[in-house]
Amino acid sequence: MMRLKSILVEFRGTKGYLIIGISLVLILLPILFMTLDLPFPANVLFLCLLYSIMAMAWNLLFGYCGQFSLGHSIFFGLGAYTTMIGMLYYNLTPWIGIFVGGFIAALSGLGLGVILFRLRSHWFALASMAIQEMFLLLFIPWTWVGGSAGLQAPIVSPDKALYFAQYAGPYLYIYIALGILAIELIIFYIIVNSKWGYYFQAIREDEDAAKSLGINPFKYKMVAMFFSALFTGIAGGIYVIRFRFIDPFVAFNLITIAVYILVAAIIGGVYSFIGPIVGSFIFMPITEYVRVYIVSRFPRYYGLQVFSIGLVVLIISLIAPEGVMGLLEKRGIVRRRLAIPITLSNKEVVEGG
Amino acid sequence: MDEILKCDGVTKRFGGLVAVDNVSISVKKGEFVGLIGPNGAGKTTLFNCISGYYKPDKGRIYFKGMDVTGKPPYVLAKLGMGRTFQIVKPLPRLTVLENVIISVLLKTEDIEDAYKKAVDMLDYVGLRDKMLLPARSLNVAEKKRLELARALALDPELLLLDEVVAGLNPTETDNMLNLLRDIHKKGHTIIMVEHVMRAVMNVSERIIVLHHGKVIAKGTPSEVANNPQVIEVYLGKEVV
Repeated sequence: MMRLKSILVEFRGTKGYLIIGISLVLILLPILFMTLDLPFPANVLFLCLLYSIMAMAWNLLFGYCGQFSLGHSIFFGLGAYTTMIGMLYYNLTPWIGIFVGGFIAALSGLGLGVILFRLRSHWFALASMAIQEMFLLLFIPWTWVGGSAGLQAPIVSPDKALYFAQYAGPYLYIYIALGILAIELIIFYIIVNSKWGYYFQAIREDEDAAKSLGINPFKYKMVAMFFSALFTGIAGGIYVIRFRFIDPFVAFNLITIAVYILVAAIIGGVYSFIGPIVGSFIFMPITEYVRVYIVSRFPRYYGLQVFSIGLVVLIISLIAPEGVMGLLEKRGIVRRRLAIPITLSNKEVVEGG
Repeated sequence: MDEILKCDGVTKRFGGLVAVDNVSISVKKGEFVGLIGPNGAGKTTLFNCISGYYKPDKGRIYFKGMDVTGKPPYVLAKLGMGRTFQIVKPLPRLTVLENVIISVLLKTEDIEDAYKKAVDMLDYVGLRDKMLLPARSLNVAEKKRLELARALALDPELLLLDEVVAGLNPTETDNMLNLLRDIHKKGHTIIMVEHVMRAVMNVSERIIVLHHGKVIAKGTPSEVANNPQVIEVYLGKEVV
């Protein structure tokens, strides 16, 4: 209880108003889009939130723990397939299915961790990518999960629509993504400001030094992996709720999942708590608007959305090597949270309270 | 049983090279022991065996009477062994304060409590005014102090110091030695690997000399300083 109170204290003042303001905008935007009948921007907003969930999850492992995963599609895919199979074969409501999916993804994250965390840096990245390809190859011929054609959830009658979370248009799905993102933010905020968060960062900075401080790197990497895979899996479930479709190429896609989420996190700033969200809200609108407004009208510019993201990455890497949030910190516009008890003010610390 | 550390026939090989050769030493609780020897004598390798970074090929290591051979470093840290690194390993992007907080968190879950203890520790080693800077911005002397603060913040019974005064100027060295004497007075057992002879001779109660991985002499600083074999190792054999 004391802990909760000391966390809430930090959100007095500007920071708190900013959070309330942004939340209100995000809550009102879908209603606005619905009233004005703007499905495309609504879909972009949905994708921003979906990728925010995943980029945050990926960054718990990289930004905090230093483990660069190229295999996060595994968890997205497992969450998506679990939710879909639950609906199709077991009549399980996706409201529960996405959490079952997240949990299965988290457990497989632990399983993979046992193997992958024996490896360091680039070997970890390569091995995670390789295992993701194995999942792709495993799912393509597997008929029970629909094989390469994938699985499609039929549109249900109106009386079952709530049970299967089916709504007209993209509008109401935004709230599902928003709700999960909010839960994720709260859980991650508590984690990174606890002993775990400090231990994660020690492992990221120097694993040998961390060991000398009584930290078992394997144990804490597994903790980070669990929560990272959990929310990536839940995001996969949300994808299935929204699009009622999944196939192995969407689920275990190296580029559109594993790479997109890490690019979003890096653009936003991996050493910032909300960096991945900022990055997703830059990344997704660019790809989506370029894809729909330019590429679909001028087919000869096929792939321009990927090119445009490449350009953004290039620019960011030159002017803001630590991402947008890193740049804002350097310019003094936002301040990095100091490792001080939140109940003490910064002034007290600097002047010696 | 006041023996805090015992190495019994510890041997570590790297390929054909025997870095530590059948070393048996024993350290009593409360002692301040200097471990010296020329370059490549195996001092740091022995440290790495004791603190769990290397698994010895032969021999056993006992800490507080327990056989800890092959136990990983973080288990040894929890049992009460703190160490510093010859090549300093600050957590560069974290602040000096955060570096020490992480250490204190070994024995407490409470961040606020950890903060207070970390600030006290930084006060003690003289880094209080730098505590909000990233650790990478410190100079060498300050980084060595941070290493020490971090190891000390674990509240260890045995402190292994690997060349904490190497690279410091005479004033910084004296400050560091005073600090070490004070830490020893507070009841920590210290084993110190050092190159700077003046420093070790000055603070240690007992010296162990390693050469080519073997213990060639043990004794008080003056005994060791007058040992012909030690003189030969350090200054070379007299010709004629």
